Amino acid sequence: MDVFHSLVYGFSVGLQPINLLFCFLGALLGTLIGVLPGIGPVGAIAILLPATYHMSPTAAIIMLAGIYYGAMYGGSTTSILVNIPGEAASVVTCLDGYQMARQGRAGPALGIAAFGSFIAGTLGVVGVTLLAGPLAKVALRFGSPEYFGLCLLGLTLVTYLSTGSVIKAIIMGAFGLILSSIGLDSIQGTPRLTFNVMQLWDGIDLVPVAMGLFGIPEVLENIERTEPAEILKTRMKSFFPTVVDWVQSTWPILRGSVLGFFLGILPGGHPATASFLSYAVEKRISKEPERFGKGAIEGVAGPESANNSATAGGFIPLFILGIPSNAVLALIFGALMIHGMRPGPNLLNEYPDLFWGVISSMYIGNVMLLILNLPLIPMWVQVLKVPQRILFSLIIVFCIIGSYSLKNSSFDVLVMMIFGLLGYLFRKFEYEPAPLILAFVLGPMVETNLRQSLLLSRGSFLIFFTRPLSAVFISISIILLIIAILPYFMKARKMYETSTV
Amino acid sequence: MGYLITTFGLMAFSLGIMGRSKVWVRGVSALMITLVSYVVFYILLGVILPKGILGF
Repeated sequence: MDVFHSLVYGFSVGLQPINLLFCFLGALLGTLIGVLPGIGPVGAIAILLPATYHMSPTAAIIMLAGIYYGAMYGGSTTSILVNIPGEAASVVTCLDGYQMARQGRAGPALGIAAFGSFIAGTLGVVGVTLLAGPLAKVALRFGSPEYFGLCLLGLTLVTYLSTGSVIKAIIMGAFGLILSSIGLDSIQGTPRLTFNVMQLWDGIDLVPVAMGLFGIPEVLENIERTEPAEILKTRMKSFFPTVVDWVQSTWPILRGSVLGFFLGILPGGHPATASFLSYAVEKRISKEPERFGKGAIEGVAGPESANNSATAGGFIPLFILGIPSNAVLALIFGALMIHGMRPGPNLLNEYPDLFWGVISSMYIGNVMLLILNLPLIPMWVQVLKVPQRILFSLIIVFCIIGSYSLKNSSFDVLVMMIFGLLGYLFRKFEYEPAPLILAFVLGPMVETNLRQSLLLSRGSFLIFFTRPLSAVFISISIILLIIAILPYFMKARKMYETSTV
Repeated sequence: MGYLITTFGLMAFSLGIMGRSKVWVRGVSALMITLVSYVVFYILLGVILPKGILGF
């Protein structure tokens, strides 16, 4: 099937009433999660994973994808009106969005964020539609060494692009890899790190780990917060940007779309990175960079477009290579695995209804979000007034039910609680949980491909460097690791030299 | 003890530590959260929840 026929087939799946309903639900829930500060798409998807057990795989992934891109739309609302980012990718929107709102231009700021998100989101999905087929053909030629190299590159990029300390990100990645090795060895069948606990023989499941790491710390951190968010009281005459606004925003939207899409494809790419980079680019090429931070519409249009485009781009490595590029996509990867589907180059041929159904639902979801978002902004503002204690009590209930219902096991609830406490401590000591969850998901893939490659080469590590693609992936990983760790060594050496002098 | 009793207890406790409210407000909120989550997950989504001493 060519792209056009595949897409038509996808729309025949995506437009089925049940899939439309879950697309709508996902987009709506995503916007709600984006609006609510403190609950990001990772936490929300982790909490809602169990709700998808009883759905068809296509409807489940359509809903989870809707939550992901819906959160990108919703995140801008609180950034502009409350100066609190609904989620990480909207942090940069606060800089100029809130200033625009203070100047009485909240309407055009919200409008350009919504229109920019729609244009970029749609362009991103067009990119996925066009690139998926050719990339799947290339990916089919990948063997174990190439997959090992790609997984390693993904893990390295996640730690390299992390916002905090690189060393802490590496520690978290290593911890994730150790956690993923708990249970019976897949090749020899010997128990590893099970400490004679029978429940650990099957390993630890993704759902209780993700729920604990992302759901419970949200609750604990918000209990500590005492000051309520102040909502800017402003009258919005119209959400439609003026002609001048459009002239100023057109190129930032297009640049943000392209930049975000390619950053999204990159293993380790995150919408937040795309939005920060887009803001930096717009400020650098602007003739009046001094306007940025004081209510420049380009500072809203570019980043909001970039994060939506990156969201769409991220589905390429997930679906085509079977490698999630960030924590949200790692959870969607987990959802696919729960439904017995293995993401990778064969997904396109084995489950075309799922692949093209999800892609078409992303076109539909973007339209839904544009139609829904602007008229519903007053409602989203009211949502911010819901007592947080009700909201966070519900999160606790969802986390408990979600982790229990996976295998009807109280042990999973215990695992969720342990990881909840660990997640809270990680946040307190500024250890990002994203590299951990990604390493936890990629761990079995890294191990299997490493061992298969070594079996093929009879134990020689040269196999990774004699095959061009794996050599490129591994070399980039090594270079990035050296670049990341070198400053720490230089600093330690300088300290040693000054102490000896 | 089962889902209904333990969730009601946990909710009443967590609502208490998350903010000051009257005991009856806390009780009604905990009861509502317990019943709504039971209806959504057990009845609508078919998720198996521990029955405990109440038998449902």
